[in-house]
Amino acid sequence: MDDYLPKPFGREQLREALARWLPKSPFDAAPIPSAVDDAVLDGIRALNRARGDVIVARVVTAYLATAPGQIEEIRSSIEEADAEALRFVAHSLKSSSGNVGARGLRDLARALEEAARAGELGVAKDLASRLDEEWARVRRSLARLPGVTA
Amino acid sequence: VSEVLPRGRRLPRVLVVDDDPTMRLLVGEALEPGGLEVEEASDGVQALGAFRRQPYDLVLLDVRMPGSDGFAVCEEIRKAPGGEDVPIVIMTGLDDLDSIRRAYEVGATDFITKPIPWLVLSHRVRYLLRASEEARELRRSRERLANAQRLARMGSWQYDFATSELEVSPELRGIFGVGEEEAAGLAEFLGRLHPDDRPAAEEAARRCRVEGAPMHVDHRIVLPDGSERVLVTQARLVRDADGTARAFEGTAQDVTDRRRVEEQIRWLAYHDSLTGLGNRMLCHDRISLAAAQARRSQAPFGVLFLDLDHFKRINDTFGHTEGDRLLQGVADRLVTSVRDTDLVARPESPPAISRLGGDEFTVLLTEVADVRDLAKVARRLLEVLQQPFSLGGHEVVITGSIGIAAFPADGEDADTLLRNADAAMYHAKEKGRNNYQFYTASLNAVALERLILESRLRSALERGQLEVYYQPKLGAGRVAGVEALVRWPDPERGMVMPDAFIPIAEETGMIGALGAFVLRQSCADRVRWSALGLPPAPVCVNLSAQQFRAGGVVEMVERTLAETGLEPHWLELEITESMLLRDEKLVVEALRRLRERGVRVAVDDFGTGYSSLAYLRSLPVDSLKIDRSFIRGIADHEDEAALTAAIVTMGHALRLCVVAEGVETRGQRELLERWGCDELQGYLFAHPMPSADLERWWRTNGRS
Repeated sequence: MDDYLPKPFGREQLREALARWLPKSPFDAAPIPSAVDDAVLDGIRALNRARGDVIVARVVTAYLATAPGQIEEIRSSIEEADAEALRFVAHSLKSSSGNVGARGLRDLARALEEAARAGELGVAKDLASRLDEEWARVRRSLARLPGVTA
Repeated sequence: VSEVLPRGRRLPRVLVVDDDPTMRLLVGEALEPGGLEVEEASDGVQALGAFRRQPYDLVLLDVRMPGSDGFAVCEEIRKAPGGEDVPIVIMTGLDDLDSIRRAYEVGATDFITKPIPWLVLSHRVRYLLRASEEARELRRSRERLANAQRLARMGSWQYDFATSELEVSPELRGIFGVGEEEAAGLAEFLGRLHPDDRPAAEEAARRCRVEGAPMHVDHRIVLPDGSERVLVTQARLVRDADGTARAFEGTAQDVTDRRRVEEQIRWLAYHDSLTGLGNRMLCHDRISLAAAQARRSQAPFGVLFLDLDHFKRINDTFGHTEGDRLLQGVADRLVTSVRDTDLVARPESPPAISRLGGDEFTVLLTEVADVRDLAKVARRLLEVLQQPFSLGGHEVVITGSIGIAAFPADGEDADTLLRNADAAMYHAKEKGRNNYQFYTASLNAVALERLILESRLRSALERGQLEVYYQPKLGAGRVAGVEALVRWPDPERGMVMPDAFIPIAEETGMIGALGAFVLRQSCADRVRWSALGLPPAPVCVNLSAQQFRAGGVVEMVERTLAETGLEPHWLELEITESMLLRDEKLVVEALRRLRERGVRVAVDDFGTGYSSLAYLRSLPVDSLKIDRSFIRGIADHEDEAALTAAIVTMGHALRLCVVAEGVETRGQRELLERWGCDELQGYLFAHPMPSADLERWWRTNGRS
């Protein structure tokens, strides 16, 4: 599942959701995916009309504070060939990345988790090499959000 | 918000357990606006610590955590106090089916997949809280029901017609002795039914199913250990919406103990606890029943009424304990002898013996060929009674008197039959005791009443149940004397006046003992009054003609005076005018001797016996009591006033003290005082009263 539309929804919400996914023009058919899915953050904002941005800021701040440590831990557990530790930390990063809409990073974490579970540390190492670049994209996107302290 | 408040007014508390801070933060933000209090734990150890400190209303649990994973935490929470029924929601990835399966295995209530739809989470949690509260309420209510069933020894069941499945509560298993492990189909429960009660139970079930009549059956069951219990089974038909009978729904209650107590109460109400025989009530019921049956079958039956002869002597001699033993012995003999009687046509309905109270027994004989059979049984009973009893180390022989009444000749209902058997029994006593008599119509009501009265009077006299009352006479503003009047407070008839029983006492010779009793009591009371310092005034005692005829009156009076220590001049003897006329010589001679000793003599009822005043002159008499029939009219009738005034005047002329009795009004009193009547007696001043009352009255009124 790439997105969802909470019921009940209005015409406007449907239009917006479709607009997010349907190509705007033939040239837009394969856009570079953004590092962060705004729809996920909108879902958080929707929890509270008045404090939506504040909540997003708190969640994102917490994420930005913990994710680098997790990425560091992924790397060290691969170096130490500790598949079990890798599995846990990859799972955590997957979960928290998903929460802030960092889909790329989330998918990467999920792949790492699966590799750890399968004991494929070589695969894990290849995957981990992509972490820095993706993390940088995510941080850039999230740091722009109002109220977020990186 | 109120709908999610499970207990009281506090907010429902939710614990979110996740090592990911963004997750905890988001769950908190998602739930708190919905009125939930969210607390966080970042790993299993924290979570369990928090839960054990205070159980939560719901736990959201991440599966993958460093340290103990979500499954282990879930298991631990289930074991913690308050954790057995808390909703636990596992948060897991949509792709992780294994986790979902394991989560259920370790007791999770529900799962929610990531990414978590934040807006929906709150509703999901609130729904779970409400469901959990309902489940808890249902469980509490089931527990209460189970408790109530246990207390009431009541079990419930439901039988489905379509599936032939029987659902039973644990209590029902307990009542029927069907173990928790045992199969519990209809056959197991029906198998416990007492064979004798099974047809009735099945018929009730059939009527319930076919006619829709509510089922209510009392029946017994036999438990595996062989013991019997009494149950009340009630059931009703459960119908579908379209009216089709679908099932029986019912309860069964063990009422064994209650029935036992009820039976005991019923037994006590209908039996004599001393002998175990039926009591008066049961006797009455049995006769009524026999009468109802006899009216249909036209078969005669009889009631034997037995009263022991001189039973009182046994009690007096050996004490009540031995007396009771004798009654028990008599009861045993009666039971044994009627059981052995060949007259009993049907051994399954032996003659019913009852003890009405005291030494009175009844035997109800049904199925007799004719009344001669009744006599045979009576003879037999008299025989067995006469075998000696051993009482207090002594051989005692006792006899009885039996009266017999037969249905329908001597009565068609229990009351009449009992009354007539009783009357016939008195007749047997009359005939010298130790015999039986049939009731006969010649024992007509009046004779009967007399017989009964006589017997009761004799017994009252023997038991010292008669009482002496006193009515003061007033003269010259003081108490001039008190007249002793005998009273009979009969436990059944109330206060019996002398008019009703003195004639019987005279006819039967009881007057001797009765008169002696009254005289002794009066003399003794007079002596006591003196000792109490009450003013000296003679006590007046009536003598009956019978006492003179029997002889020994003078000696009896002398002896009584000597024994009680009463000075003779404080005793006045009253005789009626008619006695003087009828037994002149006998009476006059005795009175003369008594007067010589100092005893005073009064003529009672004067004016009714045609004696002339002149005649009185020659008699040993001190005073004259004008009959109450004269006094009654003096205020209204000049003739009677004149006559009475003349009697007073002439009495005075003969130097007799003149007394008026029956003074009831002020008018009568004024006239009598004007004429100079010496002493007045009547309700205007005082009614006859017991000695103790007289003493009080005397202290209050004695001076006026």
